[in-house]
Amino acid sequence: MHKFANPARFMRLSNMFLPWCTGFTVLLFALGLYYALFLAPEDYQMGNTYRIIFIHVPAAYMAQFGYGVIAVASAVGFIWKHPLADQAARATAPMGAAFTALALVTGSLWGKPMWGTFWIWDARLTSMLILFFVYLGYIAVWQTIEDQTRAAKIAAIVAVVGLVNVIIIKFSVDWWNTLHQPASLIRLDGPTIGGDMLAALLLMIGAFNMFFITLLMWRIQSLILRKRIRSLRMQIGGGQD
Amino acid sequence: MAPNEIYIVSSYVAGAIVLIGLAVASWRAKKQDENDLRELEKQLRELSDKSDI
Repeated sequence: MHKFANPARFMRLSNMFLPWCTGFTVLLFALGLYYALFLAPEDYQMGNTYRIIFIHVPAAYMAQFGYGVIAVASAVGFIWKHPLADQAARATAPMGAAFTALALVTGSLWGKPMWGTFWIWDARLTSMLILFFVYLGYIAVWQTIEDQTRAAKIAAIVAVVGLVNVIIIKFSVDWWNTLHQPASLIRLDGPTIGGDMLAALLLMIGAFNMFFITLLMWRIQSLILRKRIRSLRMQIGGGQD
Repeated sequence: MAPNEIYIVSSYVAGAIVLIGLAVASWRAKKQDENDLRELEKQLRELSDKSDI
């Protein structure tokens, strides 16, 4: 694992994979949207409004997945001092926050026609809103603490503590009476939706995942370059003194 | 437009805005960092050339 954590090797490998990942992302989005908007049939109860799930579910899934990535990367950075782990966690946070915001907005847009309201202080909705604030807090730690080593340590603690909320999000629909429907995809007895609806949903989740991987590589590359820029600036500054 | 279509369209528009926004911001940041690095490396080369003289 350590040999892949070498920034120079990461830059080389990611440059090799990036065109393929970008192409695959575009392909999955094209296929996913075609299935979601044209092939998936109308729902007998919700009509076409249910098509919001093809944006809402992947966004909500990526919001939680992104936080999982941050927690694991932070723990690895904290324990084994991997040079790339903290950068991966830091690079993931803005994407996770954006996916959480998207899940909240599309959830509200689905809630209005289905429940008659844009927002309710329901356990699932509230825990997702808390996740959004945890993301903002995590980003703020990196932005406000100048010493990067200290920022990484504090951010790692925030990330691991915030993981409790992700578990609450997952089980909120089972632990409390909520307006939000229970899980219909990741269940012990299998998904409760099928056919073209399931295919469209899986394709869109795949597309969001590939998008996340592609952007994560760009963002980590950017953070590695910034580290190099900082050290060059110090070199030039030191040389001029 | 059917009464609920506004919610469907708004969801897809919100999705497009977030995804395109993220992609553009990440891409521009990377390009900016690459340019900054090139500029600094050029400055460093010029400085080391001067010190050689």
